[in-house]
Amino acid sequence: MATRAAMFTFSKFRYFPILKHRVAKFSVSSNLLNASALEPGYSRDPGEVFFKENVQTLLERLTGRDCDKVFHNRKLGERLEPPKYELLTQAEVDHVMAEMEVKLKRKLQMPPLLKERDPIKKIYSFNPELQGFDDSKYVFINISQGITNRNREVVVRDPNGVLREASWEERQRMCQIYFPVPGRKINVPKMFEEGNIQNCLDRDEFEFVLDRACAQFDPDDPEYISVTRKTYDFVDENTKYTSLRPTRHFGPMVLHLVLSKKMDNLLFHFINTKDIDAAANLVRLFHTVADDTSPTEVDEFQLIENYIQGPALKKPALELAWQSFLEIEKQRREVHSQQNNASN
Amino acid sequence: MTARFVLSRCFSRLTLKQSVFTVPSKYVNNLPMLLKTEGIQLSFARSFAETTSDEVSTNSNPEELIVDEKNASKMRNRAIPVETSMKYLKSKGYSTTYGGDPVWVRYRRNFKGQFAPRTRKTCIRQEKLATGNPCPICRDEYLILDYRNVELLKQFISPFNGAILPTEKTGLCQTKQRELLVAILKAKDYGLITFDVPIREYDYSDYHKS
Repeated sequence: MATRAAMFTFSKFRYFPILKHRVAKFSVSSNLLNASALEPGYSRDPGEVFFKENVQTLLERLTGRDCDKVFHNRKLGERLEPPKYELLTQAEVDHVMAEMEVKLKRKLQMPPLLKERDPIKKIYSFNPELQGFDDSKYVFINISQGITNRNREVVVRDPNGVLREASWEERQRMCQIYFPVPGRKINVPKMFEEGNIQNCLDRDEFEFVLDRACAQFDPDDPEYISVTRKTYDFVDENTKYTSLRPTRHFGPMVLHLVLSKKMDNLLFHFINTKDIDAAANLVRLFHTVADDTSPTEVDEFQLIENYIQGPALKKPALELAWQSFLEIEKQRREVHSQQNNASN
Repeated sequence: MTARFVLSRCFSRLTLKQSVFTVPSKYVNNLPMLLKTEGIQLSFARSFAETTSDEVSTNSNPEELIVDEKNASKMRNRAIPVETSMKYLKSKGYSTTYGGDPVWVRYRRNFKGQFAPRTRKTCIRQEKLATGNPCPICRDEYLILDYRNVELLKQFISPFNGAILPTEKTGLCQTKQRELLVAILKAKDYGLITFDVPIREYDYSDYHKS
């Protein structure tokens, strides 16, 4: 049995008696959003696919790098300073550009797309002789330095004598108290409730909702999955991809659409905006996710055409868009060749 | 000296036995009381609590209505709903009064010297304005600080760095500044006001055991 003596031999333990009226809140919070979060409807486990190198490179290429949007002025309530102008040599400029690349990578790091986590069920011991020692449960956390919050030990002694590992909500709350993550509140903001999210989405505040969800929840939290998938589906239905395109959320959104077989709207959008590189990358991603193959065609036009003839779900619209694109492309080439002939 | 009294439009709906127009000044200082007539709340009318015997001979009716427009505008006992305030912000009256500026821009504080002291604790005491130069929110009774009234709240957030403007700039009294802070915090919680969230960085090894 994990005795009190054994617990005190850990480097540092603090106990935090939680009052009875707060006990109920832990059980309520996990079911704030509707039960559709439990069935993501994916063809594969997203956790397997997301971290693969080829998938990561494809998603990064799709996101692009619009430096103006990524490095936009952020309003954080800080005292503003006037901009500095410096005179640099070419070597110094290269050095600064290299530093900027690192910063860009950090800002564009994609939040992982995972499946929902399983609830924690481990029980260390059951001591019925301790029953009724108090009205409330005691939560213990190991606050030593050098451990990540995912690996931190958080255990709970219930009034019925059970010593168990803390549930995910209890863990998050305790870790937030002692090791606060910036931007995260202890109580879930009301913005993530049903009606309020819809209000934000209707005002096109997609980046705000997703950023806040990243700060508030872990990527395998059922609430996070529900909020993010709702946002991605809304963006897809209303084809408002441009606002999210240069952000860190575009990659996970594209992967979500590919996994849930909704990528045709996005392909349509790329063809209409004549972004053939992005369209080709999207088709390559589809093949990678579907059966781990990378397609052998080198020509991007052929690749896209094969997809539209083959696995596409919205064939009529895509074919129409593709034909009109090909015509415009042909005309452009003719004009170009005429100009070349004229100049020669 | 007799105080001047003016009958307001609402009184046309009332049937008065005697309408009083000139009364000795001692009655001006009575405590204000609410009178309800035909469902309309008259916030600006006062009634006599007690009358002295020598005045009774001229006015035998003990519950006469006295209207005092100057002091009527100082009453702040009506609870105005937020929706009314939100409508008011879109109205013509608002735009002519304030132009396109935030409500605090055309307000001027009165103090001696170059540096303003802290703003007063509150402009409203015992349900009426207790000062001659109330702060920008207290002086207009249709400006309600509520988390839903985002248009008004945004006027007090700096467009440059997203911070809430201090009272040195806006001139709000301390109670209204506190109400403003609460309303803005609540609006951000509900997602009605957007702001830049700190970037969350991930360690992929936490989620991907390779």
